[in-house]
Amino acid sequence: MVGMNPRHSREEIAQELVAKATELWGQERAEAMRRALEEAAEHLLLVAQNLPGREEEPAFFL
Amino acid sequence: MAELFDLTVAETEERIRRRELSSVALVESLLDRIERLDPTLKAWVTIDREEVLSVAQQRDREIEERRPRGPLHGIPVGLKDIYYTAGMKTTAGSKIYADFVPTYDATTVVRLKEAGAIILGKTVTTEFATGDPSPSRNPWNQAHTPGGSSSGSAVAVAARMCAAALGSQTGGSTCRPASYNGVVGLKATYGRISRYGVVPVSWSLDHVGIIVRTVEDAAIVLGVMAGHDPHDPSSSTEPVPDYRGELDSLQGPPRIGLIRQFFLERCDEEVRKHTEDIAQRLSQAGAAIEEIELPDSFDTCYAAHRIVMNVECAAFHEEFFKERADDYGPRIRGAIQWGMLIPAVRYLQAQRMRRSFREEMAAMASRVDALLTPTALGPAPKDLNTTGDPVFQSPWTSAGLPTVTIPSGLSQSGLPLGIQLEGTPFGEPRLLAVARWCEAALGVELVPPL
Repeated sequence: MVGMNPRHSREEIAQELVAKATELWGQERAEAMRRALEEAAEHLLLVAQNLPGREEEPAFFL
Repeated sequence: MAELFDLTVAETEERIRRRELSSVALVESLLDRIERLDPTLKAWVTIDREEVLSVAQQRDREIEERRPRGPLHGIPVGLKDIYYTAGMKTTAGSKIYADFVPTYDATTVVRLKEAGAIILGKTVTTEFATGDPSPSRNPWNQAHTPGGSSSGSAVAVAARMCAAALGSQTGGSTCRPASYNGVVGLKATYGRISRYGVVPVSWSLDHVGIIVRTVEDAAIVLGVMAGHDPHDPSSSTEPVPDYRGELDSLQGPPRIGLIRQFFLERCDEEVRKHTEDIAQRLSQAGAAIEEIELPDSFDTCYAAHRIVMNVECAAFHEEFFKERADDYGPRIRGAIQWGMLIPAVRYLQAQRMRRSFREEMAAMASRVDALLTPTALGPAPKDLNTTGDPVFQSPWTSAGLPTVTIPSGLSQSGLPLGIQLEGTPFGEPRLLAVARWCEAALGVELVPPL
């Protein structure tokens, strides 16, 4: 699953995202999204490195 | 003597109630102004002139018969073109919704009409209220973005085409364009105003926005629209206070928490100096200014916000996107595809992080009467391919806390600057009272050179 390997770096996550985008929408589209996907990789890594406490539930409607 | 189009909501309400002003005269004044300015400013999508005048005549009859409907009787209001209006196109700025005509009104629209408002027309939104550029033009300088996604509403209010308009905010789409155009923008607590009948970007982040020219007007419009709506699963059952009545409720000058961390570190140098100067002026007027530190969870709030927003946006658009991806603009298309790539587990982690973030931000806000930051990184950028950066609104949107922006001056380039005040959950009475106090202390009213 894209972006879920805890040992992957930001660059590796970005590569996974680009690869998945290529599979879904083609290489041209994936390349056009590369910068946005690098941002996405950064966000995914940040969330993975700062998981909330065990007791914390999601709040869809605050 | 002020022109009719210069009147605020409060001034109009008083004159209509005292029968010194007819709704028809006011509407004609606004329609003439729109006819003169809108070919250039492009704030409006749809106006049904005949219908608007017909409703205005009805409102005048009701006043003659001593049957005013409510606090907005006879007052024209603009609606961002994502608000469902029965029998009137709601395009969401998109090819997908280009011919969509809802069969029912959004709850906010129902409440506006019940309060006597006249729906003047639908204002421009960026495509599906997201990040693609706006066709609207900034009345202060047309080479600069008007901001977005509530561009049309902000331009219309600033250019005196109407005294009030609705926007929305999922990142920064009410307060940022309000600041860029030199007007007041209010984003209430999440759940305070119903989202039912509003085309969504992200269900758990969307907020109805109010764009007006004074804090008093924001309080009036909020009072009309706030309150539980069983159609909206996120709608709060918190009682609705008398926002207008509590505007002068402060016991003395407010305690204001200035956040230098992140906000004054990231903004332009001009905005940093301006915000410090504003804090100094408020202090001289009697406010107690203290510096407030951000919680540690602030560091990850933007990441969580973006993940939630893009995943929910992708979920809403999935069906349309299957067949009509090419009909989407580049930025929303990118956001949808970005959202489609995010693992479900990460979306849920982001939603868990938002809960604790909100608790910490609310605790921070409760230490003072209101928090103070600049509204935006700088004045409206000189770039029509952007709507600006929502980075100073997104944290408050993600936490669901109420925020209000008020104009605070002009930049060296002659463009509006704003300060943003932030409050506790459902703390709108105190927040608006502080905003009103600051508004009076600063004495800033901005009128674009039109």
